[in-house]
Amino acid sequence: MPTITCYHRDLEILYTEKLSLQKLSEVLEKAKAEFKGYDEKTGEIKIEIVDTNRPDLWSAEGIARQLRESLLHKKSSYPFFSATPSGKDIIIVDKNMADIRPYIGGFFASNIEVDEFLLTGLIQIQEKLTENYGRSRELIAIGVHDASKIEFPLSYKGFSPKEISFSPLGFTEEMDLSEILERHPKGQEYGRLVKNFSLYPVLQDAANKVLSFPPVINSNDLGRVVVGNKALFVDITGTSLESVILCVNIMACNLSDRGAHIRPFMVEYPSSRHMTPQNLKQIVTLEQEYLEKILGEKVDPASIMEYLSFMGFSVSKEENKLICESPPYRRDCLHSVDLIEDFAISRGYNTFSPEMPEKYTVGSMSPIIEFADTLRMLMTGMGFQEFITYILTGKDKLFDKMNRPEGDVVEVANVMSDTYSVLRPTLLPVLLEIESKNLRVEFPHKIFEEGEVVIPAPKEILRSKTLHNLSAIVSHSGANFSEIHSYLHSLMFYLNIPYKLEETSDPAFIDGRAGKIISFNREVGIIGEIYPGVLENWGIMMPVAAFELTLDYNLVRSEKDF
Amino acid sequence: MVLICYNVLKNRKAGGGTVIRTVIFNVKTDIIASLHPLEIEVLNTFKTEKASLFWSVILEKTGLKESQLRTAIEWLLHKNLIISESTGVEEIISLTKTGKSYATLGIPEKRIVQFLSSSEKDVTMGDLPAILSLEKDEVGPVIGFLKKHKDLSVEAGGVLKLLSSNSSSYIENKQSLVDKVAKEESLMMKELSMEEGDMVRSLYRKRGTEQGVFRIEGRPIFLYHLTEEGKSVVADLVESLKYRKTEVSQITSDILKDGKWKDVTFRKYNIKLNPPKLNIGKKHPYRQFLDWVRIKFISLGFKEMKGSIVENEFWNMDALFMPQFHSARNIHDVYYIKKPEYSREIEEPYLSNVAFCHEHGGNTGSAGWRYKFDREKTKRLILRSQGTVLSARTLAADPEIPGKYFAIARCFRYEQIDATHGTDFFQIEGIVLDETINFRKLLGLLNLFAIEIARAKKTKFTPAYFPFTEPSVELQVEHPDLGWIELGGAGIFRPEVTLPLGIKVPVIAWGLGIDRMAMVSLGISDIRQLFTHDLDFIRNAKAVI
Repeated sequence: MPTITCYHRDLEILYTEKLSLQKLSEVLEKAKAEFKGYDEKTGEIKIEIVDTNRPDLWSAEGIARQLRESLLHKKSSYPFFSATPSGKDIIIVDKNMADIRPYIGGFFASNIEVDEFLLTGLIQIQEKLTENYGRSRELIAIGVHDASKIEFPLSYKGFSPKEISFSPLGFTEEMDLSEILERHPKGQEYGRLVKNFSLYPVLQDAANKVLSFPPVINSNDLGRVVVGNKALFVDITGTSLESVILCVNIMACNLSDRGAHIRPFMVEYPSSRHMTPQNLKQIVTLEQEYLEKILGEKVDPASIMEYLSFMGFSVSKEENKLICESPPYRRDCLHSVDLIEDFAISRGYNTFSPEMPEKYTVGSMSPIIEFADTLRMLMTGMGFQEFITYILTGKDKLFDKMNRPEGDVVEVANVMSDTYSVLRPTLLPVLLEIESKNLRVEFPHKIFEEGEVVIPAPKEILRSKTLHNLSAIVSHSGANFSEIHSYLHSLMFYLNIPYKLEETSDPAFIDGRAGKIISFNREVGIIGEIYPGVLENWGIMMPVAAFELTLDYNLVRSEKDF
Repeated sequence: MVLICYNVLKNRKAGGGTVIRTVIFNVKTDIIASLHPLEIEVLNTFKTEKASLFWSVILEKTGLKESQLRTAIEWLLHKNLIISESTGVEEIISLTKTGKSYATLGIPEKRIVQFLSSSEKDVTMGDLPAILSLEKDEVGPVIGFLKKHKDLSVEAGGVLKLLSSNSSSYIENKQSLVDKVAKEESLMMKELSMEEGDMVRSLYRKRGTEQGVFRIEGRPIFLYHLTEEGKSVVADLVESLKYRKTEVSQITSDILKDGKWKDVTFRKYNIKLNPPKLNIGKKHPYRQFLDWVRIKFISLGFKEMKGSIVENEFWNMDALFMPQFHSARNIHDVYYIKKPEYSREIEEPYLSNVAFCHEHGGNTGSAGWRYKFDREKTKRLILRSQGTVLSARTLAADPEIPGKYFAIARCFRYEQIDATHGTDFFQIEGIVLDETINFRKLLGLLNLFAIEIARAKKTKFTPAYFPFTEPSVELQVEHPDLGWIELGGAGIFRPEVTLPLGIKVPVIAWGLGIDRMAMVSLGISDIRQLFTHDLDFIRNAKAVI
């Protein structure tokens, strides 16, 4: 979820009225945003925007615009969407860009003076659009330039890495494109986006001066914006035309909100052309009946139209349908439910009176949980203390410390640490880990855990199975096989599950004191005295005896299907 | 003998019909019956005329071990039969071993004078030890003393000559002081006259190896006084004990078998003492809390869902209309499985339905996300990152309509473990399916959760965003302990979620965050403690009520 920082004063200027912090935190829900803090020293406020699908809100300009419309009912007007680009306001796209980074858009912003508020806002929206919405510049990248130095028209064209040189932002020396990828910090960061192509994208002006090397870096000359600049040129490149245009629109509206005069540009491809900024006129039809069904009450169409207009929509009525056109800076309405929500937000969630669902349904516990609960009840009845532990664990605990050969487990690819790198296939190791951490706690220790374990199962759709296991250990100076066996025996007796033990050899247990638990000719668990070498591995100084059971349907005779 | 009396008092409230009956037991009888043999021994050292005794005196008289006496004194204090007085650092005078023999045999001075007055033979100093059983080095100073006080003189040949037939008053005073201390066993210095005090000081410590007559102890002294009740109990003790039957503390099988239990009394215990705490078998407190939540949902008519911890991207995300380029789907948010990497297949027709829905909306009336759906990526295996995956699978598994489902699911997020994040955490998720479901019913359901799960009286609904619900709402509640908290998020599933899975009715989806509530009810501030390995902590953790 994007969090933005902006000046309180700047926000008030954009909002056009005083807006106390208290009021702000109350009304931010209209923009699905939350007030996250105020820095008294700098006068900056932090706002988190929860809607990841509304990039138009990720700036002071965007928040102020939404609040202006929702609260002051001041409709924003952006006449440049209906303007026509003049003669030289053109970006010519070379055909060699088609397979590299095909789309570009841009506009000229004049009638401004870059000050700290404008610059902060510009950097803010540029960063949020390229990093969050633009997926770290893969989808879209933005360049902002000092327009006074640029000669139009512009050309957007691919060059081979050594073919062209310029001084990238922050450097005075000229470098070719491959040098930029090697030496410039942004080149190192974003080079991955172009490295697989033989040609790299370059935006040049009519005098062949480089504006930028999208999506990597601007030029140090044209592409540097400082306080005092009077005109700006903004370029946006990307892999999706729709996204490029949306971002151009957002940038243009933001600057326009600060008083800029916006001049649209024509983008000419080899066989087509389009204007940017451009109103995409996303139109969604809303049926009143559907809205009433979703919201649960009758609503007057006039009020729908009014409240949607406070969210930036232009709404017209056609019989029982409302034709809703998104504002040019929004493209998040995929379905009429999105409009229904916007209507509800605009009117206020608190204007809807809650109503209880009246349909009768029968509640029930999942059968495996019901079965597991019975075992837990019996275990606590036998004096065992229950534990709950993480499902993620480490191989060393499962194998090395247990003296067991490494077996198949479900492994995580992007591990945070080796301690949490695999899914536990068994619960016994963690019980020994617990034991190892409680050497000084009053004995005897009788502990157990019932919980989920995961084992590889190549034939399953998910190539694995989540099972419920139960493991228990006893530890004190006299703990031994017959004691733990008596607990297992009692457990099985009260569960009414017949079982027998068969000798087995498991290096975690003492040879001759370990058994497989067999029920209905199926192996369902293991029991034994822990091998002293394993206790030594864990640093445990008391004898430990243990069992572990898998709680699957083999354990019960009934037809319960887990 | 003291009788057990029941005094029934009737208080009639003026004008009212209420009758209050108060039963008063005879307190003293009860107390005597409850006395432990140790307590009786201690009380027996007190006499009514001497109602105050020092610790050391009681110890000596009873012959109890210090620990036994301490216990008995504690009980008696508790029963208010005695009170203790810390007399500060007080000089306590008692007789030494020598002093005690002086009390029995008389002080040497007196004995020497008496002997000389009755003896007809000449006696020298050297004869005295043998005759009067005195120590040799004891005799010299005593003779010196008697000479000084002109009681006798030493003649030629060392023969002792008595100067007066009557012993001097000084000797009598000294003997009476010894007798007085002997009678009281111990005395405080302040109880003595000035002369007596001087005498004690002159006699408690002598040079060399000679033993003194008196012992002066300067240590913190507790003096125990009988209370009025204590005095009356002591007065009755002897009498009442005559009637006391054989007292039994532990009932044995034998006395039950032979019927002897009828002839004995059962010693009353001090039931107010704290016994040791037992380490009992019990549920883990967090699981007990989760069990409580489970029962809550079942009682609200929800059926429990279970599922796999390993999931594929399809059910975890794609089926929930999260576009494949969604920012929450990268390796910094979700745990991907290294081995095995991909699920075997994705069930049809859901795969195609969902793919079309992402690409162009399919038949849902949606514009879709407008990108090429990757049918390989959707098979990628991950660790379940949200409980909503269980809801998606339930929608595809022919659910009951109307129907209500919930799950308490372990979920995993790629997050550094700290006080507020664990690798595993529980999500409580659920759905409600019905033709009559709408936004207002959603709010009604959330109000119900607020009351039932968070015991909250006030709720607030604010707009929220989830890729799979629209409208979406966040539920804030005023928790009795925590103030306003975010209890959960909810919404109505988008048609892009329900229609591809074959569900034609509206579906409420909700999820609750109850970790903070769990932490409050368990009294912890670090989420990692929910999964602690600390046995002591878990043993001492209180049950969740």
